[in-house]
Amino acid sequence: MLRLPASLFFVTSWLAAAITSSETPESGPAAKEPSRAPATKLQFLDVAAQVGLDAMIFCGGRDKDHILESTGSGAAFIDYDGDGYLDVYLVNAWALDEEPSSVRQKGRNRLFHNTRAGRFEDVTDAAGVGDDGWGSGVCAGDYDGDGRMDLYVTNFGPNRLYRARGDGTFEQVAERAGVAEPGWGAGATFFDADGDGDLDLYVVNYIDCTMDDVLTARRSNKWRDLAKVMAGPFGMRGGRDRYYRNNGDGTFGDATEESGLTDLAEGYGLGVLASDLDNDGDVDLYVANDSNPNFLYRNDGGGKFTEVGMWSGAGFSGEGEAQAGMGVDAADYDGDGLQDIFVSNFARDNCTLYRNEDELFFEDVSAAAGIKQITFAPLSWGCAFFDVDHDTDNDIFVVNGHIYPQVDQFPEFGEHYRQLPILFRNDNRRFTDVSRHAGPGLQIPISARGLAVGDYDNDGDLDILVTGIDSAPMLLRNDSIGLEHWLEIRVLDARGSAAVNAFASVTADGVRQVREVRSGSTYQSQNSLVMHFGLGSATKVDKLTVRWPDGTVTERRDLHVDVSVTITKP
Amino acid sequence: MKTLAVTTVFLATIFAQQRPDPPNQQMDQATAETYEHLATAIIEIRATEDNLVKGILMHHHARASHHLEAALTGADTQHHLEAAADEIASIANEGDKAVQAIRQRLLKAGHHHHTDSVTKEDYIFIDSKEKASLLALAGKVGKMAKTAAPDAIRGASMELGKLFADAIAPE
Repeated sequence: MLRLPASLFFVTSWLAAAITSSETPESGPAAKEPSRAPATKLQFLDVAAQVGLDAMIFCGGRDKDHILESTGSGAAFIDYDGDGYLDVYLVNAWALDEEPSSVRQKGRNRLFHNTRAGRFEDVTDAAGVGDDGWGSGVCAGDYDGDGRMDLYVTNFGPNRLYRARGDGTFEQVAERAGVAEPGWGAGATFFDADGDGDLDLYVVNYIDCTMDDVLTARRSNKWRDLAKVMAGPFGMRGGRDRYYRNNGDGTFGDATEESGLTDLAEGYGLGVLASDLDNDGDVDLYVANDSNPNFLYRNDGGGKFTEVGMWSGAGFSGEGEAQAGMGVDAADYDGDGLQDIFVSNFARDNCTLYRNEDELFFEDVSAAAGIKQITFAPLSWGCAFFDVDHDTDNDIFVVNGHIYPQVDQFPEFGEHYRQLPILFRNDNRRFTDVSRHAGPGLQIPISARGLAVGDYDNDGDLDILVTGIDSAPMLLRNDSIGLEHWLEIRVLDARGSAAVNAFASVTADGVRQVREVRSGSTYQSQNSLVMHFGLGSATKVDKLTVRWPDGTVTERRDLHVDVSVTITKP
Repeated sequence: MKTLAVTTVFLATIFAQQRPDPPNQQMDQATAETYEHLATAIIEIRATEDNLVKGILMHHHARASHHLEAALTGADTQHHLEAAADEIASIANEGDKAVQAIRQRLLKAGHHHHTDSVTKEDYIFIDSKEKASLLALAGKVGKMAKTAAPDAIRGASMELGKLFADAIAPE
């Protein structure tokens, strides 16, 4: 899209009076079908190297003898310095040598500052966020309520909590805060679980094992009776997920059991989503488990949860099978005002789209929606809903990559270690694979894992950040042609931080859409905390409603299109 | 049973070691006998596991039935129906979450017959079709929690009875 000065996009300091009440945003089906501009041509270009994102992301050795070497690491689109431009945080793991297995290089996490001039510069050392643990994931949230976004990094080994000081630097306080979880952390999310106004933390743990296990592992499983591949996760002991309640003084306490969040199944958890899935004003929790039923924890209020995944329809595939969940995202794909869930799964088992039937009941509509067949062959990880073509409905992007490099020795089976991503266009609630017509950036195979979505160049369309195994990241700049109108909304709490789990609904030209600000989700990654809406041909936004995490509501009317607005909680 | 098997192997080994210079024939016989004992133990372990799982299923069935009956009294209906849904789902999965964690460990010993997500094979008693039916019933009962029509609850009880009887019936 045509690039305009950033100042034109930001309409901050909205002083109109907020309408405050306990009502939730209105619901109801979209009044009109989405309409895509006939001239729209989707076009993504990988500009990572060009803009200075030159990090190499490691993940173990060449042969991938242990499952730790297969799960990769995530990334974040986060505006760490509050200058209105998205910066990039990359989580890194270690490189291993084979025979004898040993640590060749400890990869460091990297923070890249967006210079606003189309470049990123490495500010890792200055910011103090270059952890060299075996990294997995990252999520963002202002846990201490000082108006600055903090970062939580999951590791194979002690996790890290980076508290923002407000001057572009961070302080590592995980031990002091009581969240230096020592296991194999995967997905994590900040959310206000108990409705007390501060952000609590949920950490998903994958498998219990040690670095000795990793370094002494031998490939003992057979892939198609042809190649020896890494063992697991079956036979390994799953790590128990943890819930940390914010004490309100900069520390957390383990409240897993008393909150009803005990991971009795020791599921092999990887992805996590904190979202108000039943629109009742509190935040529910969904955990994507590898090779196990997924968990859906209903928030019963007061910091108590009930696991309803087993009978909600969202714990299994429609056939009643536990799948191998990796990543997870949620959004309203069918315009009924309810957020639906998308879960990425293992190879030769499709990704699953769960349609929200309200009150936390879900139906697997993967086949009917056109997802099932196309996602059967790839092994899928990071996934995200967003309106790629600005036609007022949510499309889906999924990145893929096998865990066994050995599959490349047998090309006759059509399975590849490095795989292409899939971009699904939402065509009236049925999805069409448009990946091969979406520009050169989507034709580059990597063994992808992490995925974050955000508008890093502030041009009004959403760009994509992808991490892969043993490769450089990809920054897929959205250069699509003919995209129609859009609106970006930054919702800030009274202290100036992104209001995690705030909802916004936008009505334009008779179409109502909803979005939620979220910490974590996708696969071990953090999407931009700015909400983006495609508006089709609408030339104004009739109504914008923000439902804040405390249930109060702010409304705006008659907004311009093609702008970014900031709404601050009164 | 595991202790019995280990003890059997241990005693047989000691017995074999205590005989001074046993002729080959005696050694072969002792080895065969030990293997015979071990085979018996393994078979017994399998049978014990079958009975244990059957007991688990009956436990969840009894609890599900109790909650469905309790829901009909009109007191705390939502709680009872959700609890019934949970129990039915545990029948479908041949055990609750704690059992699921144990199965994951058993897989390390090659105990693969529980691994529906990898092999898509059936459980010991519950086959894939029965599992899907039971999960659908669990969802139906969970949804009833908001409406709780007595006829619908009775219907669910009958459906559960039939599905359960079919599931544990000898193949």
